[in-house]
Amino acid sequence: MSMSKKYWKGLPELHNSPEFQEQAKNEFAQPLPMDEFLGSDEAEQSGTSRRDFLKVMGFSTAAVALAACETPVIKSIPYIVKPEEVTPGVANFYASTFYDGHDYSSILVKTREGRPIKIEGNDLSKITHGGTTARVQASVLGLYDGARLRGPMLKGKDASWKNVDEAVAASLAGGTVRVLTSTIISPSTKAVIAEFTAKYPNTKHVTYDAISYNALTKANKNVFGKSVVSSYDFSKAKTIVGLACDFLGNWLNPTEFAKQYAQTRKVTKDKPEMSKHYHFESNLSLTGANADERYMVKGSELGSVAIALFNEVASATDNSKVSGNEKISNADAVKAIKKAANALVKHKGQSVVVSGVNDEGVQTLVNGINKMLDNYGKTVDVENHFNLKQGDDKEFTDLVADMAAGKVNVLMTYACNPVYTAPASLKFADAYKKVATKVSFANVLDETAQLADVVCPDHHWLESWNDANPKRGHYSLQQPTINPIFASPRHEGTRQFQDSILGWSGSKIDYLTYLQGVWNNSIFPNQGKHADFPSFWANALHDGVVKTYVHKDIVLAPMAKDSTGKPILAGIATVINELVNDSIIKPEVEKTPVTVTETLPNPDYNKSATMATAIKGGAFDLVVYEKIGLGNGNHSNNPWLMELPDPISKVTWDNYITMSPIDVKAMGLNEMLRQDTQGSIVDVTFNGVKITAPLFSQPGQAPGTIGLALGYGRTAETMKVANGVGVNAFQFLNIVNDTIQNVAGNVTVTKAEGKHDFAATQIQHTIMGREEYLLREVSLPEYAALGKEEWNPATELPVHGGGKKHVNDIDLWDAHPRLNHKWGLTIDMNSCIGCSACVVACTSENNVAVVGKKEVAKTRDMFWLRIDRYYSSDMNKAKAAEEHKGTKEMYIEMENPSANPKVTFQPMMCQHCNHAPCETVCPVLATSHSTEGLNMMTYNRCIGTRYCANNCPFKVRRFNWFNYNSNDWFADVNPAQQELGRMVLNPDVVVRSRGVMEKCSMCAQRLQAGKLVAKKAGMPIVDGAIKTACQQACPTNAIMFGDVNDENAEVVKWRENDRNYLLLEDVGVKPTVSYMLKVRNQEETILEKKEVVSAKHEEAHTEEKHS
Amino acid sequence: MQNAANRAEGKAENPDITFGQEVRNWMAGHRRLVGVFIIIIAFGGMKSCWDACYNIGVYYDWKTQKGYKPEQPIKFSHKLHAGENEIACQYCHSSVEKSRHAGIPSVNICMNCHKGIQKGPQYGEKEIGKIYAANGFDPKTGKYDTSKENPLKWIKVHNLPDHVYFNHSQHVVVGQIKCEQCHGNVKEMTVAEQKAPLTMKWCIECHRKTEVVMEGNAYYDRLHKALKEKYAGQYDVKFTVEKIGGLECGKCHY
Repeated sequence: MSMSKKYWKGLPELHNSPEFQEQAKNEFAQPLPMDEFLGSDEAEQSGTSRRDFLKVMGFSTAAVALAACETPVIKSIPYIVKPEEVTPGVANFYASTFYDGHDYSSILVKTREGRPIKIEGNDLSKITHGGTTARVQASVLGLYDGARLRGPMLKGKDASWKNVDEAVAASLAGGTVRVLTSTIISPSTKAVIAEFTAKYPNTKHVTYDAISYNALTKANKNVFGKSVVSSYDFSKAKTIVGLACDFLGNWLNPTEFAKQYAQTRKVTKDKPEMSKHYHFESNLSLTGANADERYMVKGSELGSVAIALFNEVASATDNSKVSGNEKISNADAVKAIKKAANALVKHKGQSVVVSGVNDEGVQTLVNGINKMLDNYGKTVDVENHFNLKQGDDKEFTDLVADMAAGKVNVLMTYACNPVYTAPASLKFADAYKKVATKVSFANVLDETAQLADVVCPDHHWLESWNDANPKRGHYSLQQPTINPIFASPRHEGTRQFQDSILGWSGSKIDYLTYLQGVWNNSIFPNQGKHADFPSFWANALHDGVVKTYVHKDIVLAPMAKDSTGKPILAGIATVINELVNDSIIKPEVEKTPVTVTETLPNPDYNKSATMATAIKGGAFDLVVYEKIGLGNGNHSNNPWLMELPDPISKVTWDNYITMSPIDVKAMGLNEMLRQDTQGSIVDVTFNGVKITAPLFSQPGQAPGTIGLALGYGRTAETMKVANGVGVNAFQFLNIVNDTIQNVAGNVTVTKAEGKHDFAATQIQHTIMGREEYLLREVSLPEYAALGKEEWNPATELPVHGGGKKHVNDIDLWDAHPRLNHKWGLTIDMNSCIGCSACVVACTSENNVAVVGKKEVAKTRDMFWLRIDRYYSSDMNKAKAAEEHKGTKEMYIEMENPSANPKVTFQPMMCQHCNHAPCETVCPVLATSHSTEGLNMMTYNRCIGTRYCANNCPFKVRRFNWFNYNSNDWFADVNPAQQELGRMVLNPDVVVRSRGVMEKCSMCAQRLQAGKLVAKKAGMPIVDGAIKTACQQACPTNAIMFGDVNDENAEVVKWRENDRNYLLLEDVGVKPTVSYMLKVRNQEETILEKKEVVSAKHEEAHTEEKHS
Repeated sequence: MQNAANRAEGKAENPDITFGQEVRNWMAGHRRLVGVFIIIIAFGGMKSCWDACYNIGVYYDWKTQKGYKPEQPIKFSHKLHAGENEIACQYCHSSVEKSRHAGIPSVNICMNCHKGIQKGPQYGEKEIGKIYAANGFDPKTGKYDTSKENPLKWIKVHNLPDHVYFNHSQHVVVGQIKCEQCHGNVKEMTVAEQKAPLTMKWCIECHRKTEVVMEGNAYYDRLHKALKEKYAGQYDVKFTVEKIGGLECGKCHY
């Protein structure tokens, strides 16, 4: 029987048109572009026949084969005189200080063969306590930035230092000079500027921070009569209220605050207590994502929240209320303010209110609230104040006005880039052009330096001497860890800012001598530990930090000479007097809190309330914000930070308008953003400034408010990584009440033409009902009241013949004994705040490749460690059952995050499964298991089948699709492609090539090095001696690594904790990495069980008894 | 062949059959034999290719035990220094106990002796003069001129691939291996020569048979006890590097 049915390939074949018949003859539907491929005419004219081609090919193959057999001549060039401290192959660590005018961190710099390759936190610091941020971790790459200037420039042309000095000297004579800098926390640099001012009396130093904190100093002036930025201690706070304040991510000194905050979140069953954190904000910030209760408030209504909270607290503490606009459109937020106020009053003296709104009115009210709550001297401290963020916005705007009026002859800009960062309304660039001599100290040709007449490139901070006084009584030193890379004879070279200024002031001494002079005369007498200056200096250099304990009656010895015996210059005296006054701190300051004596009457809070609501809202308010990666744009040209996914949106290489999904839907724009769908583009207009930016639908964004990140939209041509990425949000900064604020009320948002491709590393936003296997959570009352089996149940599987068995008892394989070490890593999800410092630390330690936006969009990012961010959804299994929803419907709804979701961060790296699924599928045994419990990846054995990645339940394996370190496609983004950028690579870790799989090795190189140290010393490994890079970088101690076979190890204690669980335990892969579940301090139950309700009542009852 | 037979018998050669045709005819008649030959030749070829691949990047002949022996910029004799003058290896290769690299001595180490010894037994002042040229030393005045410094560019003899991590201090301090075990009798070498193949096979062979020095090193106490328990009752058990995980990929490749 023959086939009677005929299948057509398509309608054309059915119709069988003549065109189709013609086309059917061709094998390829579209003509192959052979001409193009062969280069048209040239190919025809060239005499290469097929035979010749084969001959050439054969020859080249043979040549390559022969060349491979030839002995490579590798030269070994030893030192002429080897520095005593350098041993090739052994890393040196130097204590230093990171400060870029924005972030402060006390750090250790790891150098190999004289080049810095990694930044680590300094445990000795009493401020940062060994924590770092993503930006601090990444800053080492800036040293090897190809965009750095190699020498000074005069009128846009390369010049010699001699010519530059002459030109500057000529312009300085007689003119009005302004020195514009970001906040300087270095006492010696201040002295140097004073030196300069003494020589040129027409000089004025203006401090300007790109992201202003001016309202903090103004408010403290109003309330305490002191223009300082108070310091905070979150570790003592039981109730924390944040008002648009990203204190864990960016605000003031996030490393310190994150550490303190995490201390209040280390919860145990014996002591089920945690701080309660209420947060009111417009954009979903990192801090908001960690808050126990978060409420969305429109940007223009943030002031009203401060007023409402003030009044609630005032009425509860019998203080007078203020009258002001308390209108808040979100009814939940109004209720929450009342709740938060009650909690604050309940924990009077153990609470803290912080606000990131840079408005004098709001900050004065916040000070008032903290004062009513008796928090000063306990959680807030005006005495031991910060020296960070001293920018004065009024002085800056006055300066711009002076410049525009032609009253400034010389403007020197140091550690700031006002052409890029000044608000558009100031028209800084126009005013700048009217200055006769513009001197920039930028070490790359940034937007300001491009317009400057004289560019005197500063050393990179890793090449410089400096000091810092970030907080009263805390000093730290910065020391060069490498000789200036750009120096004669190859280049004209860079010169440290302070040396330039000292030279122009007519001083002959170098900055190091000057710095030692300042320390000898001011800090040395106040430390009371070392008898002579050389030993004090050596110790200060070694530790990197000095804490002065000063009694009031210490009088400084008269300072006649500096450490080298040269006379001290005139200007130093004023600064040193300032320092002396500044260091008068009670020695026991850390033990007994300083009580604030009220010398000033209460300020006029009603006036503050009026100021607080100066910004009038509209259909849309714009709140510009800092990203964890780029911050204020100081490190825009850093590819590690560009590729670092935003912890909230997970988008890389972009900034974008964040808008609430509700608004996105209402405007008819693209809501669901995945890799295969493109984002809409919108125009945003405010005060005549218009930008066109892509739109990102952000859950948790307050409806009626949009957000835009700072630090993008660079236009400097030499900054190849940053140039052209995103749009500049600094333009939208808004000057209200004489401070530069980040809220722009009433912006216009309209749909624009086109589509935008986002590159995000995570596109699945919710956990989809798999909490039990991946993301265990419990509320604090449940945690306290119920047993472990309720909130952290053992994973049991049904077995044949009925009943259930623990998954460990059902095993196909025998366990291998781990006789020596059994490494283990545990992550406390209650402490992890998602700050991503670990991600950059991992990139830096393990030579992880940067792949660029296009590849990230194809999910080819190479991160060994990622942080998964999950939003909560309104839909869950219990609710679906209640509402009689079908499974499909339920899962579809589960995909949508709540409008104001709860957020969980989960660091995710190779879990080093003891029954690893990747190992069983590798055809060449390139991935295997070690006797120490690690899953090893052998690159030189891997043939790139990618079976392992397919079989990995955690999706942590990364495949090298290209030679990222040599392929031209990645020339602009991958630092390893430049001769300079390659210097940052860790020589102990292989740079992987194309076609191999890679993944977290649990820092095998550190483990081996740590073991070797112990073996050589003939001692067992001390617990804590080996730290993985992620653990080292973590500011909150959320990651613990150790030897599980060592019963006294900290990691064993963590793993014995009742919150400890394994991911996907039911699969039976037996991960080596474990997690500690998150406890949320909230009243709503998390577990879907009825008993909880009664238990909660019981808990509430006991709490009443306690109180 | 037929023609050859004809020639021998004095007959006329058959001009129609060429040698090629004859071979073809013969082969057509002995297909099996030819097939076997072809297979043997093909396998032989593949085997030698395969063996050749093993030797890519290996600059050592297993049979003659001769290795890479490049000419160095200075005719430095290990035989003279380490052999006759009995200078300890660690005097020059000073980081061997501290670092993964044994270290090529910096020029100032040479100068410790050669500031005084300005003439060599074989080459006189010529070769030692190269040291002076490297660090700008003037033997007449005894002064250094740092502006004339010009570093020496030695040729590396023992090359390991980049994808393997080897640590000298691990082997010398912890493993208590003598330098000669891998580097041969350097005291007899005028020009330094590679005396071991430095292949993975060679590494592994040694790790298989070398016992770990566990006694007296407190680091190994716990492991030693555990191993003794594990192999209790077994005779002739050696706690080799292999037994403690010394053959695992991730111990050297990361």
